[in-house]
Amino acid sequence: MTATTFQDKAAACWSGCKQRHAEFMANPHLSGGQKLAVHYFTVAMVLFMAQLLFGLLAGLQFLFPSFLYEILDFNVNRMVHINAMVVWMLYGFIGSVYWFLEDESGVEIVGLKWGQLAFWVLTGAVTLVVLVYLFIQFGAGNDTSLWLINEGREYIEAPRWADIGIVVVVLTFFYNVAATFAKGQWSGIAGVLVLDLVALAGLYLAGMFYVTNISVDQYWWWWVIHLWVEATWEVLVGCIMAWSLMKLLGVRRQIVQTWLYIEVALMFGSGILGLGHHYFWIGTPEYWFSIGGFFSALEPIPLVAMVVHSVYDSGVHRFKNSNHPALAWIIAHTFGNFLGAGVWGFMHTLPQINLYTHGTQWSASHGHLAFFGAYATINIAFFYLAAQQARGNVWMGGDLANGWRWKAAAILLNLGVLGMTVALLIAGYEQSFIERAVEGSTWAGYFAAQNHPWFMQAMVWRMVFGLMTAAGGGLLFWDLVEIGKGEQRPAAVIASQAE
Amino acid sequence: MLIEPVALSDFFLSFFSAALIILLAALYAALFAWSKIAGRRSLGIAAWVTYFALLVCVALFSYVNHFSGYWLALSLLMALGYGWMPRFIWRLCAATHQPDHHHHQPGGHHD
Amino acid sequence: MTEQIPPRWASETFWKKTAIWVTGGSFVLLVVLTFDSLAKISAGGPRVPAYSVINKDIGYRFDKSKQRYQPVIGDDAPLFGKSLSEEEAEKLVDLGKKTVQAKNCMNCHTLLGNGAYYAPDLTKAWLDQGWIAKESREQMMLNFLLDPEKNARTFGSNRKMPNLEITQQEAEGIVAFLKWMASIDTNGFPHNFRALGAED
Repeated sequence: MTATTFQDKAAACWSGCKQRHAEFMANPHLSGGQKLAVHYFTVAMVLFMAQLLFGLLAGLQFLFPSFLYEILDFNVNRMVHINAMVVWMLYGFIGSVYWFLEDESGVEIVGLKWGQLAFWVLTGAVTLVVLVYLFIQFGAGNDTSLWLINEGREYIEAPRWADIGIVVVVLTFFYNVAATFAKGQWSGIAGVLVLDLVALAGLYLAGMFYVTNISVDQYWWWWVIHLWVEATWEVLVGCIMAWSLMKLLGVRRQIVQTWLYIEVALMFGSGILGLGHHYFWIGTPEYWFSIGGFFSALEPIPLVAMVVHSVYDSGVHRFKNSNHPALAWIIAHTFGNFLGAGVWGFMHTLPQINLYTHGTQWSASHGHLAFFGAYATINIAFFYLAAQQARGNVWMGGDLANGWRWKAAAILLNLGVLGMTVALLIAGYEQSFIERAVEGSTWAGYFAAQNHPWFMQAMVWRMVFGLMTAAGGGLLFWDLVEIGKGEQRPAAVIASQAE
Repeated sequence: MLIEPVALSDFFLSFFSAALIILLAALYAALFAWSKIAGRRSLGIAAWVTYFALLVCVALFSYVNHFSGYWLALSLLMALGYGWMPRFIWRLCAATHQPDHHHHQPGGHHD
Repeated sequence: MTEQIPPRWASETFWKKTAIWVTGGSFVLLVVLTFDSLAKISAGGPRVPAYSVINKDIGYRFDKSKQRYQPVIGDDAPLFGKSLSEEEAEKLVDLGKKTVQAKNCMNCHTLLGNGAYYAPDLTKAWLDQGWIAKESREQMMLNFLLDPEKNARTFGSNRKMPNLEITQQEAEGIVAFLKWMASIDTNGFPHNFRALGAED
């Protein structure tokens, strides 16, 4: 291809994109905040696909260690895999908040222009960070590398310049939320949300400095990882769910807000000091055994509360629902969260057994199901709500055109993740036996466990289910682009809770 | 000494009883709530049977994890807590969902 | 209307206050514990030795009174034959730590059990029997870090560490960092680990 034809094609592509974007911005069914939300959701889905792709590459390297050796090594693939996950979850949460902000506050978003600018800045920064991860990968052992290439701390590898950028963007987001609520109506959901965002942004600062002492390093590192994932993210999802329950099922505000407060009390009450279960083996004092053990035993309580409440609601009320895919994903959320966080978490959390499971595929098994069950599912549910509204609040109940697609995507994704979780569980179980207990965690013991047939076969099955998950992900992407297009029926009307 | 690790031969029992504690706690909660909704005695009995199985699992879990002192107290707390919690949550559900004839505007101001 | 209002213990205000008190209380407790823990894990404290510990022999043995494994600091055994001052030792360990971060080691290995699971845990890497003997250890570690492809130690797995363009100085820093990390009291993790030189 000559240079001119290439230029022509690029220009045509660019103007095509611009036109599509202009058409989208003229969508009469969405408010300003909701359009910004759809921007966030779109990038979230792209990052979800990246997470799946790099997960497959890393998984393949367990089976074929020479695959992409010194081209895209395991550490690069694994880093992109987990970073894409963290970032797409955050994009989903931020988008969901922009989605309901105007509805909840009753006024237009204050400073929406800044929010839009922040979106493009953040997306540009994320792209640049990933390109540097892929093409530069690592630098010399000095501050320049940590500032420009990679900070080398799992989950929060983003270089320091990007950390600062993320904080600025989150502050812009926070300004949008707080100023909008301040101008419009302040509600219980608004209060919890604003305080939670302060905590979310503040905690990130705990991951933004360098220390030589690895024990101190990991002490603060867990503040970010644990207090995000097992505390502030949970409450953020609680706020999103609270609003959805009012809109989707017509539950009364007073009930929703009371339960949001109950949830905050249970989540923060068990989650904040539950941090202790990460402080067993990093050099920290022995009293963390007692604290970590105690709060780990409490952490499943919110899940048990959820079970009682669901049965109560299903018996007392007859809820109608106007968005079947979203409801299906909320059901997947309750089961995934219960199994992934509750059952898988408690199985290996107490120090008496964690001594042998810490740092094995047990954590990977738990991580896959818990992140998927607690967060991926809820984001996907919200994407379906957005798709419904963006296409004119159309029918998304039974007998949908191409309704097989969302069902197949949901089945493939859920079975795929569950299959990977079980495969990794078997690998972790074998590792805790052979590497940890019998061989005493030496390098020879590590490899004895890695070469064991149970482990090798588990990795094959992980790959099979990983492919299933990726197929489901692709189908989900396609479905979100297509669902509701050409649908003429309006959405079923949900009355406010009658009783 | 604060902890005595699980013996190699008890790994499976430790994982299995831990998983069952959470699963049975949820099953007990569901059966209890369902028996309240349906008002069926058989469901109430099933809930109690499940709770008894939960107690057996807590005991087994405590045994293979070599619990003593503080850790045994934690086991007791789990047994009582997972038994009492569904009842408390049920009462809370009933109390918070009491009929309210105030008309609430969606998105309205409430504090 | 009074009978329609939820009882006080089930009211929105009650749970709002409870949520605030529970969150605030947990957080204050965490802050207090953080001050205590940070004091106990500062380098040179009771659990994390000063960086100059790299001048000493480090072992890992079962402690009968504590019923768990415990690092043991022994006689003089300077790293690379040079006894370093506290500042020199800290500088070398710091270079090692920065290199470990810049080369993204944690996305294959675990450190103190945290990280990825594609390569062995590095918590007690300094003490691993894979280095054959104490006399050959330092040189073997350097050779491995400088050219991991040629000096690959795959234990039959075919997994090889990639060449990360580590310099001689950085490699020495990493070895110092690993030696220092092996001296941290990790409450008995890893269990049952037989350290190099502990057989006798």
